[in-house]
Amino acid sequence: MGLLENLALGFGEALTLQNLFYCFLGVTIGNFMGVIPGVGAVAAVSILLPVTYYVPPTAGLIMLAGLYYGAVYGAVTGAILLNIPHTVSAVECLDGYPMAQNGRAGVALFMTTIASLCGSLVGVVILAVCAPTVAEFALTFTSIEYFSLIVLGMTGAAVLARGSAIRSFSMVILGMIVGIVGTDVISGQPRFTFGFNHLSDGVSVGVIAMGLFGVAELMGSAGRPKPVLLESKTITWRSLMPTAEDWRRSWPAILRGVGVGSCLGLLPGGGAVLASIMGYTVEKQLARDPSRFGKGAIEGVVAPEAAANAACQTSFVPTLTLGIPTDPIMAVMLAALIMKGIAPGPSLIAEHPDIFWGLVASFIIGNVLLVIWHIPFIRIWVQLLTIPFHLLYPAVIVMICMGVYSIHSSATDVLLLLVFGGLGYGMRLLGFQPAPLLVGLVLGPLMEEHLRRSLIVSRGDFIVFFERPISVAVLTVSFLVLVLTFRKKNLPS
Amino acid sequence: MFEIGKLLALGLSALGLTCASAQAGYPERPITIVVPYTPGGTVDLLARALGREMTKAWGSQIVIDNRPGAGGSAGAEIVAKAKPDGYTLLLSTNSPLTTNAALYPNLGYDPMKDFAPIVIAGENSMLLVAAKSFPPSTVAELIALAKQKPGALSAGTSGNGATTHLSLAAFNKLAGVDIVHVPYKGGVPSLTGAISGEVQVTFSDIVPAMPLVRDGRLKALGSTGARRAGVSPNIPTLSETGLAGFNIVASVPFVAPKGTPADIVATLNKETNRILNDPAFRQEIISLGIDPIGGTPAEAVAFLQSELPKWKQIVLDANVKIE
Repeated sequence: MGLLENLALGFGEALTLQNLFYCFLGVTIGNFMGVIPGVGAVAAVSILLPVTYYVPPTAGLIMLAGLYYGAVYGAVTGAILLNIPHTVSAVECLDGYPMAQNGRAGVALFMTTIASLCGSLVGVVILAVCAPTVAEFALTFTSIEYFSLIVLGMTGAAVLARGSAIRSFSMVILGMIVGIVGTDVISGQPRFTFGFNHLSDGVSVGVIAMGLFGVAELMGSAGRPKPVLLESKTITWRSLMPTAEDWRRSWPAILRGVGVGSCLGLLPGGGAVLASIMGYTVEKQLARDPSRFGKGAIEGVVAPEAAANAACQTSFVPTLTLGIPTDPIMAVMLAALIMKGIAPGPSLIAEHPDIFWGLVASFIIGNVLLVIWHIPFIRIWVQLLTIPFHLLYPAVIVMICMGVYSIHSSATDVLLLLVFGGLGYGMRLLGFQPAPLLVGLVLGPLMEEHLRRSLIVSRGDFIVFFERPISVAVLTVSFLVLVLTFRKKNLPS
Repeated sequence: MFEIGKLLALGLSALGLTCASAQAGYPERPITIVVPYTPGGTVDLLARALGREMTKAWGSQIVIDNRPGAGGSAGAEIVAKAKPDGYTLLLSTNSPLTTNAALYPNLGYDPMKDFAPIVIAGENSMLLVAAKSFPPSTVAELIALAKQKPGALSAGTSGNGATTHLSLAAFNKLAGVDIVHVPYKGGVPSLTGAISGEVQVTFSDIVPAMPLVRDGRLKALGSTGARRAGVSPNIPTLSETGLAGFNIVASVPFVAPKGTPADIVATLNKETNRILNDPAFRQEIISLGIDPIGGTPAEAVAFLQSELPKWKQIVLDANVKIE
């Protein structure tokens, strides 16, 4: 069967009233969970999981998948409007929030919606066209290749930061140290947990991101009374629409973001967070005038958003074609299949084409639904900014605390949120950027894990990193990026 | 729209807003089953299936409360310290009640003294798998190769101190070999590690490994229990194929806090046994990789008491101690 026939079959399946309803339900709830600070897709799954018992497998899968990408879609809203990110959208704070500060929140939200749609659709096409082949290739990756890729991601940290390279590296190191907290994957020993059982699973990246960006921002603005950012009457549809200049700058950035994200999503150990960091890095590296970044450059918002959404869609490839889940939610999806007596794995496409293609078609429908949903809401979200700060911010703080509490029902997480908020505020006063810290926090533990595992397998021999072609290539690129960055930074401006 | 109504009801119940129907005796309000893992894992799905059946029978809601952390001990501690009124229960793997006692110096509860076991809901074997290209196809050949090249082979597991790791340790001891332990962060990466050839073999839960075995990407060398697992009746045990006496299975105990009235424990035990004997339910949990067990509370107590020293010895042999 050709691709078109398959898609026709898929749309026939996905467009039934029932499946359409569950698709709508999944993306809507996912999207709202994504918008609410601190709550994410996992919380949504635990609410909707029981529903999967009562519906056919295709409908259940469509709903769970919708939750997942719907939440990624929504995650950017808080980052842009209030500097309150989710784990996947932390990088979007860097330029999205300045855009909102400049009164261009609507434009940022509009363009990220477009970027999400492009990212997702390309991701779906990759899923439909070359899923099995690509997944096969990704399976040859070992810890050695992952380590090299993470080194490349780390060099991105230098690019992410504004100002002094020393300062940003010190923040990366601090992030890595915070990342050490918890149970060591290799030895099983708890590190820096200070005897608290609660810390044995580490500190959640989401909590830290919300603390460093969101809470710190709220603390920072508490001292200096600000007028409202926007007057209601200035919010016209026109003011929400991107200008021709915005479009011109965004298109190439979106395409590059999609490219980066699609590749990273295919790796069983990749993911949306890494994709958005890399998407941002690429943009800033390629920009003619990198000094615009961090001050509201639209490329810095759309590229990571496109990358995250593309990665989010292509990460379904290993799950659906190999039966290897790349995310807890995908593990739930596979379990839902197994309970219905359907074996996930490579035979899924051949044995149950209706399920596979129905799901693929539902991705397209779901993403279009999300855009239709999102655009009218932009105006409502932007109107949040017309609320005076002294009313808005306490409410937001309460929301964040509730969201954080809901993740693990843990008061310690709320405390940690406030501690990192304080740290973030201190860092602002001293002129340190939170973004490199986040990079260290996300990538540091992964880098350590893969490095140590590579060395266990090689019985301590470092030469393995230079023996495998992909690893050598990636390490060389990292080195070049580092050299280029330092040269650019040291040039007199 | 019937579906929407059902959905609304589910949504409300998930929020704990529905009131239990007035009913004489236990249960007269929603029961919380603490699952000390994130949603979607095997035990979580078992708890949700069990909760669904109990709700059907009693009309009273069963709320699943996921409290992950510290290898399941974070959730177990909450139940150990909960009011023993039969409304807060724990369903977990045996780890928080056995192995963790040997692994962690400070558990915050006593696995033997702080719980009133209701029933052992089931057990699950693990699977030893190898990459397709790896020459040995049976466990006997694997042991022969490991003896021929000491220290050259590596085995992936889902993490340090996990049941998969302890299976490897028990394997090394019984077979007299030294396959190097390579811990991964969870079961799925340990399987991809075996596929990419980073490690030669992996001890894994059965269900996630099955699609890869069926597809021929990995080959199954044997399951770890004394009996073949219900989910994979065609895969022989390690004991059958060359490592006589090997028997490591994780169990899924269902417990209440110590001091829960005996008649409530008996009610819960009776109901759980009834559900475990339902053919459709059995099939459902077997497909999740859990072989139903059941039995009396006294049997559950005796089982857990016999398990604790056994796991302590394995942890000792594995030489893992979490400081």
